[in-house]
Amino acid sequence: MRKGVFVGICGLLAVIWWTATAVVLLVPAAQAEDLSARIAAILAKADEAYGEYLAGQCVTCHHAQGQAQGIPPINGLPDTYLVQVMLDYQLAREERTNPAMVNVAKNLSDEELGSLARHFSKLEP
Amino acid sequence: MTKLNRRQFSALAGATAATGLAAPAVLAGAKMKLVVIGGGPGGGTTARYVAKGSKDVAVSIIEPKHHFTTCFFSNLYLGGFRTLDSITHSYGTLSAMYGINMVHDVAVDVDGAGKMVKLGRGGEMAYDRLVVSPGIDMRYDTIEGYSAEAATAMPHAWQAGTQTATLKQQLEAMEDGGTVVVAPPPNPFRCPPGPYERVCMIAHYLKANKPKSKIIVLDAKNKFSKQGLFQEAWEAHYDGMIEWLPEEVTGGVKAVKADSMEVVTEDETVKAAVANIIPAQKAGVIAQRAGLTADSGWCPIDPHSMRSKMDENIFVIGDASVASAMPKSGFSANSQAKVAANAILADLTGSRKFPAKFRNTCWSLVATNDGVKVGADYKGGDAKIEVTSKFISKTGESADLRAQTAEEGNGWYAGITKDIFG
Repeated sequence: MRKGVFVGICGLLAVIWWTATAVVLLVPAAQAEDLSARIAAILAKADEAYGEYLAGQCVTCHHAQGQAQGIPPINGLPDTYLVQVMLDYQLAREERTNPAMVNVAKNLSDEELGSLARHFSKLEP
Repeated sequence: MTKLNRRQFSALAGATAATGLAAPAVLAGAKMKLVVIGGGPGGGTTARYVAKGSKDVAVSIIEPKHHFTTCFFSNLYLGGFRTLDSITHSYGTLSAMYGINMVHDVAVDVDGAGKMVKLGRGGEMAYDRLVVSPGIDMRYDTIEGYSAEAATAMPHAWQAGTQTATLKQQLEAMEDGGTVVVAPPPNPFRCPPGPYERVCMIAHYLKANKPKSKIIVLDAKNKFSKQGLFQEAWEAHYDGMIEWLPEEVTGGVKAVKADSMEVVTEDETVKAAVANIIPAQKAGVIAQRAGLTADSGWCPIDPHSMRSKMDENIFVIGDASVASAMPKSGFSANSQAKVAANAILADLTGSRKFPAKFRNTCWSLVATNDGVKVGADYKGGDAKIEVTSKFISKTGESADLRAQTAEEGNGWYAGITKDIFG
């Protein structure tokens, strides 16, 4: 009887352990899937003419011919990457803490972000 | 464009005359005309964005100078971090690559009803839309004894070029142990952090070359932009060299005597080796001639387009405009220019007009590898341009972060000058 209880408890613990492990392993995967979906939804709103107009406010600092000097070039980078970086800036995470860019990112609507990312992705690096 | 035959052309011309509608100049083979007064960050950028936005608009810039020295970064020249050449730009790309007609003359008057600009050397230029971006003029009459002539001995150096070179030469000529007076102006004025970055750059030069010298700052205000950051830098890098005196202590500069290099406040006369007197300012004189200014001396604008509130065919960009909450800066002018260019293209070609979004960031170099910044995003509001969010560097930041900020400033300079001059 005692043995049975012991086995039962062990079984229960195993199930809890397995569930916990599965949750730990599965959550990042789910998050990644959410992020991909979110990026795709943002890019689906891209309006290229609006993006070209808004980009005028970016090239004051990000050199129009992709020259790097203190400020990284952004021309020709994949649109999905650009959206992800700006989402990181919106939350000031993953070392994306430069206050100038955090400030820019938090003012962009999804449509504006998608439009900008699409515009810069189409420029020559 | 489809070519019209003679009959179609006559019919079109007749219809236009009969209905009194504005002539569709594009169809008749003539381009719409944008004339831009001023070839700085506001004028240069607007001209370039309109020219690259449509082949159907003929763009001209009226600018007396053949080369433009930027006011931003001219403090770095005083500090020895930049040459004057490296902050001086030609208009060659604007004319060669963008087909912009450079008219090196002075705009002396504007006939808003007739849509004509009168030029200093005679002749007129017709426009469909006009951009007025003349920057600032000095209100010399606010300081007794100060004038354009007195400014050759006591430079303001707040319009870059000869004035900046004069100030630099005076700093190089002064003896160790002398007093440099810097007199920042009352609000509003071009480049709010500029006088205090200048104090850093002059101190940087003096510390290395004339370490017994002093800088006295006779301010017309009681507080200033990035104050905590500048005062931190003054203490950290130039301890004991700089004395900042607010208006509540001295009453500000009341008079100057250029012959004897004396700067006079309510209670005191300071004998200066070098006197950098930056007076109160107003919109460049052509803005007033054109009837675009309010009693304040600055030009009210529609916050969604930078269109003048005095004349719907005219846009005012940059320092001359009342664009608060935006500061008067080269970055602001460049940002406003892109909103204005979009509105001008919508007027002249029927292209899409987008919402007004603006930005300003101002980097200041306070010492070698030590930069700070302040900035904000803006939008067109109901009555004025409004801040959507802002940021500022913090005191006590790491040396690495400050070095990175200083390097960012260099990157910005390369970016904005490319955006203005092509």
